[in-house]
Amino acid sequence: MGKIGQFVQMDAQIIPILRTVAELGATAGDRLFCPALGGHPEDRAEYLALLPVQDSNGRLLDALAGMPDGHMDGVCAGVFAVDPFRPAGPFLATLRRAGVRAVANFPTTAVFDGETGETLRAVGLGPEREAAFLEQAARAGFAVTGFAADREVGRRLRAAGAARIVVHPGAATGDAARDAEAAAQAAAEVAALRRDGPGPVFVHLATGFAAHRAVLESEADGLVLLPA
Amino acid sequence: MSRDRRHLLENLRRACSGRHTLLVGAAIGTGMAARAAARGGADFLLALAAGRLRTMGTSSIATMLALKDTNAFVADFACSEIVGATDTPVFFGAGAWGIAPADLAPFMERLRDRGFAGVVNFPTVAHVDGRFREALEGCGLGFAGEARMLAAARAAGLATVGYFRRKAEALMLADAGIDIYCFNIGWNAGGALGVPSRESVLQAGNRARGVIKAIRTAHPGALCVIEGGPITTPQDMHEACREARADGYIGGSTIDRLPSESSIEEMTSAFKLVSSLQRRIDRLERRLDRDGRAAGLIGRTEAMVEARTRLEHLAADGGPVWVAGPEGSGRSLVASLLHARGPRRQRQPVTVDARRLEADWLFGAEPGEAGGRRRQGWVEVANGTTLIVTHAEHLAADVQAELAAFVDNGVFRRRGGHDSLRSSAKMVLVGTAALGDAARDGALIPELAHRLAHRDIQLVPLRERLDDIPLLVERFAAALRPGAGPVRLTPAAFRRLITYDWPGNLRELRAVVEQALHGAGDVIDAGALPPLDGARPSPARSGPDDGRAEREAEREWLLDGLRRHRFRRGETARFLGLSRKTLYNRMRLHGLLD
Repeated sequence: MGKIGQFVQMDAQIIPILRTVAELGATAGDRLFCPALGGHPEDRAEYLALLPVQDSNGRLLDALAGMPDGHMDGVCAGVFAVDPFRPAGPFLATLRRAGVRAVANFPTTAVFDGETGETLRAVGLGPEREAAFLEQAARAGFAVTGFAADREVGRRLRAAGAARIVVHPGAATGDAARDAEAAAQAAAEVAALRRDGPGPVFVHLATGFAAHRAVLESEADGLVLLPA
Repeated sequence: MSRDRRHLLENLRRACSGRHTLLVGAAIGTGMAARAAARGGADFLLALAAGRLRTMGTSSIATMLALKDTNAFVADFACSEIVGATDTPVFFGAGAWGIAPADLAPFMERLRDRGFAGVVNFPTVAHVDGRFREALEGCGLGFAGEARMLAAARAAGLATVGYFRRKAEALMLADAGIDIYCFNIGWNAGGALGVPSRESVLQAGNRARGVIKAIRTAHPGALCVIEGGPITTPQDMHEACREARADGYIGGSTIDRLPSESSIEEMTSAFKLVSSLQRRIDRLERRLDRDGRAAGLIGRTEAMVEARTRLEHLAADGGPVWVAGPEGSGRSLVASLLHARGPRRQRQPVTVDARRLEADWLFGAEPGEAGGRRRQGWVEVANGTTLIVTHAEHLAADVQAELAAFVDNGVFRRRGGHDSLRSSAKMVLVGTAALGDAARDGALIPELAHRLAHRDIQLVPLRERLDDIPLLVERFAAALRPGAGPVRLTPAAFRRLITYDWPGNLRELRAVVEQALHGAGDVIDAGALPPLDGARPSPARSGPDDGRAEREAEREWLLDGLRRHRFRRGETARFLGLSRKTLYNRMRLHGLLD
């Protein structure tokens, strides 16, 4: 995900199945590999990637295990960065052996809001843990992309070594007005983070926000798109 | 307890029908916790992913995250560890997100076939709030799916527990024909991984009361229990249930994590502390050993520690001391140490045996009317040093009376003499009986016993300080093999030594060690020990008080007489009450002729 210039808007694609550039043809661009989204209906794949129907990181490792050398070149691996059973050091070493050179905290607990989000933060399974994982990844030489729900977390991720920030607008309620408000808020977070600079700030076109794409991308260097 | 749904529910209703009885369900994740909860009287068990995750060191809320396929995870540990481990019915914690509607029926049948008594919707979307919850509800991942799952469980003949947090959820459960309503107050507070609660136990109970009342209005007699939040103790549970009018309680963290955390912490701390204290004890014992070796008395037993303390105290002054103990218990050693650690240690002590002491030999004698010679007594000879009287109970009563007067003021008279003489001899009287016993038995006259009061050292037989045997063996071996490495006993050898009565006490032990060391290395095994049948092994080397001390004393006595008379043998012989020939022979024996 290193081809994005400061003034050129370019999108990144989340992919649940990794295909070669040749297979992808002309669409080859930045790709975020997240097998946890695979096998689920489109409208809920992002949510199920977060929920206890699978071992998200286990699926990533399984997918990486059978890949030939060079398959992950230019591809960022989506890591569930709050996994208490995979200590960051050994996990990152495993990813490196599998050819991974770039990581992002995706799926992200940023989707959990309200009391649940607060509780996750309180027990150390929230954004701070994700930031700590990314910080360790950056120190280990990985290119790091950080997903954040707001500017505060975005700044923390930048400080942790994230070269690129992706603002996540959260979950869509289905209520047009409230989702528009969330999109506008996300755009404001993007703008604030871009003002802070340096580094590009993307926005995630999350499930249910297609109708608000224009607002979301208005301030961003690019969009992160869910699998089509 | 029955796994048949109808029968199970009847049992549960009966269990909470008493005025002061509550249902208690234990939400656990290991076989150990299941068995313990069952032994504690849990009415039912819930095999939950959260219970397992807690034992893996993370918070219960991790059960909401994509760390495991929760249904496969629970099936794995619950089938192998929990179902069948006890007679207590087990509810399977199922996540509706991971079961396609078409798979619900076969899934429930599998659970029933594997011996589960029921199903509980856990993890549950009830724990999700905010916009994410709305999103989940909007895309078919909401609470209705859980209600459908529980309905499928009921249809399969399984009992059902429905977790809920909101009244709307409770109503959905009611529509599904749920058996037990579980009002979740929130994630559990308390402990290292708990979530701080924002409300008190009574507030939580009050909140639950409103919901439970609504359920019972619609479904009179519904079984309603509560779970989570600020409840961390049985008393909290009691108060919350009373406030909520609940039929019971489901404990998760409160039943496994909180007690485990605290008991493991306390127990580890206790082990750590004991270890630390033991190191301190070991240090003190080593110091004690060092002190003991320095004092010459080996042993950690209370009796030896006491004897050592008294020895240090009584050696420091010139007063008399009574040393008591059985043969071979180290009395002569103590007497020698009283001298060696006292202010008169520059001169050799004088030792006499009261059994062979004539009446006028202790204080000397002046020539009588019938003539005779002036005799210098042992008290006089021992002026400036220590006079050790062994077998002191054999002293005649009149001699004891004179001795009592002497130890009082250091003044004595020779028999038949009128002059008051002084001697600074420190009197060490060695006997067998304890001071009190010797006084009671009449072996010591009261005057002397009074003057010896609180100035006695009592040595115990070896059979009363068997714990000291390894130390004594090490000490004897070191003395017998100077420069060799330390010797230790094998457990078998130690067992043999401590089962023996040791009539000959230390002297006998020393002889046994000497024999055992023949051909032995640094370890003495039971096979190296000589027979211990009560017959004393003949000491290969004389004990410290066998004749040598007496010879030394005689030599000192002769020398003192000779010095007083400028080595004129005639005057010395007369003074000592010996013939010239006897004096000459004794001088030759002691090498004093050169």
